[in-house]
Amino acid sequence: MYVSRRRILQLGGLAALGLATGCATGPDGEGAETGKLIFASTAITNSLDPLVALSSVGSTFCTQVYDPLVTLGEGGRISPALATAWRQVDELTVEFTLREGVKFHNGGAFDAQAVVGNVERLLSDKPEFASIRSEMGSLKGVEAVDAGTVRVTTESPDPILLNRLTRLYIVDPSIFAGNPASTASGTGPFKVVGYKAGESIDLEAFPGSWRRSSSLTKAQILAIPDTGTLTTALRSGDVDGVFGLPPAVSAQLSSFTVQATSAGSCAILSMIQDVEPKLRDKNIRLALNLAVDNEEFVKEGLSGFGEVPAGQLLQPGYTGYDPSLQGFAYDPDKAKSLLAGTDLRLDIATTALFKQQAEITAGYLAKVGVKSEVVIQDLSTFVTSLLKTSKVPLLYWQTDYFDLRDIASVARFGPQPAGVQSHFEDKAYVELFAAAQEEMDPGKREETIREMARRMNEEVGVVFLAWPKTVYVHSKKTDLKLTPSGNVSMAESKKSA
Amino acid sequence: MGEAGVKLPRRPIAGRWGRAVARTLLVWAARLAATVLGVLTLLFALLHLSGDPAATMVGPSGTAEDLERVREQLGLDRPFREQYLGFLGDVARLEFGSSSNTGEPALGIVLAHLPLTLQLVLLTLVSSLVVGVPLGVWAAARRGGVVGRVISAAAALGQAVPNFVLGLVLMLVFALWLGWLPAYGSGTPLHVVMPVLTLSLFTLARIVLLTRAGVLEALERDLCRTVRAKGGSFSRVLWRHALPNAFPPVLAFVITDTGYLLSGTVIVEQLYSYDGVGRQLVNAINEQDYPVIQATVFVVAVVVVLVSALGDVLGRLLDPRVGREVAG
Repeated sequence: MYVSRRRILQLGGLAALGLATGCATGPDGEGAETGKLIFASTAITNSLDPLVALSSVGSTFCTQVYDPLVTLGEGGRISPALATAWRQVDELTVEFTLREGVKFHNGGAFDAQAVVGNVERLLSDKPEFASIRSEMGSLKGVEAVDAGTVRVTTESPDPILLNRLTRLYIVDPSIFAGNPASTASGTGPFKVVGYKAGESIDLEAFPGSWRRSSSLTKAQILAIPDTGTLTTALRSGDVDGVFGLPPAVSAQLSSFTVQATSAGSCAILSMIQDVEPKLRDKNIRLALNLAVDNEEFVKEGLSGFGEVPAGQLLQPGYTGYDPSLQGFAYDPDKAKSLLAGTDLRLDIATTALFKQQAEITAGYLAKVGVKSEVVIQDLSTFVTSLLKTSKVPLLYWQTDYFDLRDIASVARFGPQPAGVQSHFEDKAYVELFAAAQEEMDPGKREETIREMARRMNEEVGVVFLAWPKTVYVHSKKTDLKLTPSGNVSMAESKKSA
Repeated sequence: MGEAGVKLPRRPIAGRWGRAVARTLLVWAARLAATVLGVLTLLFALLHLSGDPAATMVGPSGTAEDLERVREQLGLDRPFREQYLGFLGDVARLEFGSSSNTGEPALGIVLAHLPLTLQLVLLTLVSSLVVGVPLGVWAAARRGGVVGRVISAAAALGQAVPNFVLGLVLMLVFALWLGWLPAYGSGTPLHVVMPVLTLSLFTLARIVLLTRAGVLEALERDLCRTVRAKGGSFSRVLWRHALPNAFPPVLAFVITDTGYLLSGTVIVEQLYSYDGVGRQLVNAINEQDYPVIQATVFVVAVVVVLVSALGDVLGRLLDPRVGREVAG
């Protein structure tokens, strides 16, 4: 790729200014009011509807305003939220006992009919609910047994139905007739008092919440798209905490508190063998793994906010993590010998978000003689590359098992319909994946997932790069608490004068 | 004058004006329609080449079947021509649909953000004119002197600085170091200062240089020399005779620059989190919110054509030669 001198100067100047903005010394601000927390990110949710607001910024909002029936507690344990108890009636049915005395922000009572309304809305098959629908597995329906009890049913046995339901936030059915994308009424500790789509959400503590805010009375979630401006706002004290800064910028903010928590994902390269048949050779796949210096990748690509993956997708603490597995030690000489005589060109497709990491990876491949360039695709093109067919042999992405806290989220390596590419052409792995989706015995299921991890490791199914972390930066006067799922919990956060 | 001895009836002035106005309006309407149609056609094609909104809605956790189902629900599986004709029909009825994120009418979203962007552009133009024209005249009056050279050099430098670089510098100084201005946001007069300064630099510099060049050229004309020879003061020549002759090119630039400023607001609004159409557009592009993207481009195209028409009128008022040239 030709890069002109003018372009280099422009980028250099921009980088220097960005660095100056990021490095400049300024006051360690504490925001405007003690009882108000201002939390900013490069983007916020463009919809207040929890069925649409599924991204990490969407979860940040939903966590403050809405509650699911059950939630993920410490160590991924399923914990009570709007449901206080549950029992498996049969393989296809789970019965929930609902929390009593819970009110929505608009004043209505939370009861079984509210749950029924929410599940039926989810199953209405509207295109905007496609993403959440795909996370709900074979969810079939719901019925109210009485005002305080509901039964949720599935088409087929679903061992992680409870995990799936942690993603279903319960909305006040009284706002369904209006527009839940721009109005909100939940049961959470904060209610929405102002909203500008994609720009800001103003929150006020809801005293009637069953998990009311302990300290903060107001909060604001802000979008500041430019990372330089975001950093300046933090340094000048205009905002109390930020999320979504590039790792390199976060690493420079030493006068602030930096909290890094597991992002619940594994950064990998998918090797699409339909595009490059040479990738069917296990030695080639192994060589690509040996070419990557994972420790350096974490240090340079993620500015230290990550961990070296132990040759498997899942991290410790997730069902099916196998402590006996080892990663692939960096060995470029062995990689070169495995690749000897093979002329390979393996371009890497990714989105602009991961450009730097993909370029570092391409550099590793170049060092062992594999020609590689990074192809930046817009999100929709990249999603199509992931879901259907790719024209590029390697795909840099992060296998997000965080949402469901289960390997089921990484469906790309499971069975695929005809005409859809496979990310890992291994019949045994695909069969294990399918079995894990139906195994209702937790012990047997965990062993199946471990077997999947071992199979993926033995057959070198992907290029393992890192277990990335999510980074929050906030002023030292702000005590920012995170939920076990890694979202900000404003109800538990505090701010001192 | 008619044949000898025959007096032709004079056409009523009102009628002539009416026809002229009608013809001008017709030309502007045709220009507006052609521009908007061209822009929207290009946009429609580019959007359909740039990616699949169904894929964004389904997300990486979906399946290929989900993708196909959503494409069908959104009508994206229909032939391209059919989609295009349907789109044009919607535009003709000013129906751009609802935002795929918020469900609000797309045109309403854009119109709600438009005033802040227009405010930014107008303040930029006005401040650039108010400062730039006197500076340009001053630079012309002091040509060869230190002041003239400094103004010219500063203007040349001002043209060369990209607005995002200037924006970061301003933010560093006024928001972080001095703490005088807010780094982001919109809604108060203080929020407008840095975006306007950022947008103004190029326009201001260009106006200074154009004014200077125009005034210098006018000073060499017979008109100005005659006035000076008859004892008119240099100041009178400068402001009463040279500047009016130098101003039409400046006005033409300002009109052309309005379009560039509108596009420049995209970067500046992103940088300062300013709640205008530019930031809204970037949000919509990131979210592949087709209705909002299309409505934004439609509104901006209409504004640019209207400003161009206004420029025609002002040009004729300020320089009667333009009207005569057009009339032949």
